[in-house]
Amino acid sequence: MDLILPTADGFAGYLKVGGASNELLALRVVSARSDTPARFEACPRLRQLLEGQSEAVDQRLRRNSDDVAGFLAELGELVERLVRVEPPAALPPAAFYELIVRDLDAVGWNLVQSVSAALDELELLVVDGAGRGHTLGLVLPADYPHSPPKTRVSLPSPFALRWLAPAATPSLATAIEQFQAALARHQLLWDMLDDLDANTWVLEPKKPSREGVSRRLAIGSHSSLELELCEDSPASLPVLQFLGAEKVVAPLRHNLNARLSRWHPGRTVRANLEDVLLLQLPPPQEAGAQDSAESYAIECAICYSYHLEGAAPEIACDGCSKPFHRSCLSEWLRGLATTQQSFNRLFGECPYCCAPVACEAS
Amino acid sequence: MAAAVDLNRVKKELKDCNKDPETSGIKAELVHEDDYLHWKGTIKGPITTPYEGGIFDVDILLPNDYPFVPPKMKFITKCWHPNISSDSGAICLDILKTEWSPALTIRTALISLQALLSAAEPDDPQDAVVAKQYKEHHQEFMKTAKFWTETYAGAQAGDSEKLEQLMSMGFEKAKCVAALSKAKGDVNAATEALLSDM
Repeated sequence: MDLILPTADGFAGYLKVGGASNELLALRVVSARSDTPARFEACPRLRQLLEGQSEAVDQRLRRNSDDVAGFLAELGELVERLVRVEPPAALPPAAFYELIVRDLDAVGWNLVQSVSAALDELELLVVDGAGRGHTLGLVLPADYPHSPPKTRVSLPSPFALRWLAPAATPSLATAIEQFQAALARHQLLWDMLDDLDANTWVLEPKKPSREGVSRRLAIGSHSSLELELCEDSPASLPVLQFLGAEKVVAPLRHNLNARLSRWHPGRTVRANLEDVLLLQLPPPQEAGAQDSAESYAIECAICYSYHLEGAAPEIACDGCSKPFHRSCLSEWLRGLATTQQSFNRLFGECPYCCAPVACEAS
Repeated sequence: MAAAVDLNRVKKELKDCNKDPETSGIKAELVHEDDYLHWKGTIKGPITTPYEGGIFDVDILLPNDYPFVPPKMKFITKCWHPNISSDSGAICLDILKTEWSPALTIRTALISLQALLSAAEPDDPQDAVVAKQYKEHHQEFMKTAKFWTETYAGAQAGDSEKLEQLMSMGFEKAKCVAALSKAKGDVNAATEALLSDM
């Protein structure tokens, strides 16, 4: 039974919480008067339990503004529920730690990049055949090695450990072996991507990860080439999309169609692109080359972004080559008295150079 | 319906505004951190104009559909100019109204304001009184504009004018020069020194 006594301005006492914890929690209720609403105060432990529940408490307080027993009953229910969901703070047995230390002795401590305070999260550095470093993140369950660790890796394809506990007694070495096998499968893909990263001007992604298979390369003034490599056959023709002014990209598209048969899987993607498109891909730029970066930029000239709600700037002015998102350009043209509309198409002037531009209304 | 203001553009513009404050005489900052729609721009008064030496603050509000509509700008610092209201700071400039285009930016608008200070358009006035004075009593206009710049925009009067000011009180030139240099250019201090000398 809860122990509650009336005080000068309300009630004070203890709330008894049953179940595993079986504790007494101090609280005080200051009764509602005509000018102030009822107030509820709690001991630190109760406050901690009720953290994030202030709305629920207020609601119960309002509902039972003249019935302290009713309020306490409802509060009791709420607290019981919260106590029950609190996870038990059970530590794994000492053998768990001994095992992990032994595992790490076996694979070598020099691989460890980081480790959590509880020794249940590890990051190991694994080097592939071409000398590229990869991080293998492991979250170890309390019943390791019976259950497999959860992995955090950056690979283009999903990676899961094959864990045959406990017969073969898998260890961290098993995890590393399997990760190395997965890395070996992607060597050609990374060779192609590294070649692009080292020799062409990659506009996106800014910091390529080992997961991504796409690159956007600068190809000329206000235009770029987006390519997505095939994960299983990286040297074959990637999915290509040209972005930029029609007068720049139309000849490239023509070359691609006319010379497609020259694509040779024995060469790098970069060499194939340059041969098939008859194009010299611009080399990587220094970070400080601001001016030239601007001339290659293909951000929308209205919103200054590349991605807008998933769309790339798909319209380019024929006069000044400035790129625009269709939604940005149509929003601007719609507001002008000089813009003409024919069916769903808007005809107006480029906000930069006044050349005629047209786009679908959105 | 236009999306809410594209902060990406606004953030890039803020950086762009502050890239060369020394050469352009243009600066901008947010009035409140986190509120990218309320800026304070700063313009240096152009040389060889009565605004020379002044620092003019401009209040900039970006409407929700910026950059499809122009930014709202007005002078916070009082300014005597035919196209700027001497009372409210409201500005009459075509690019802030009908001639706006998303090809323009806050930076180019502030540069246009600087140009407006250099070359007024008295035939398209914002402040009729100032415009009338500009056209009919230009000398007087120049004097008032200069006085306002010194009073409100923090410009220091030139040494020769300070000297003239002191000499007009009836002091000898040599004494005035000495007093002024002793007071490090402070006219009031120099006046006091001269008076206590008598």
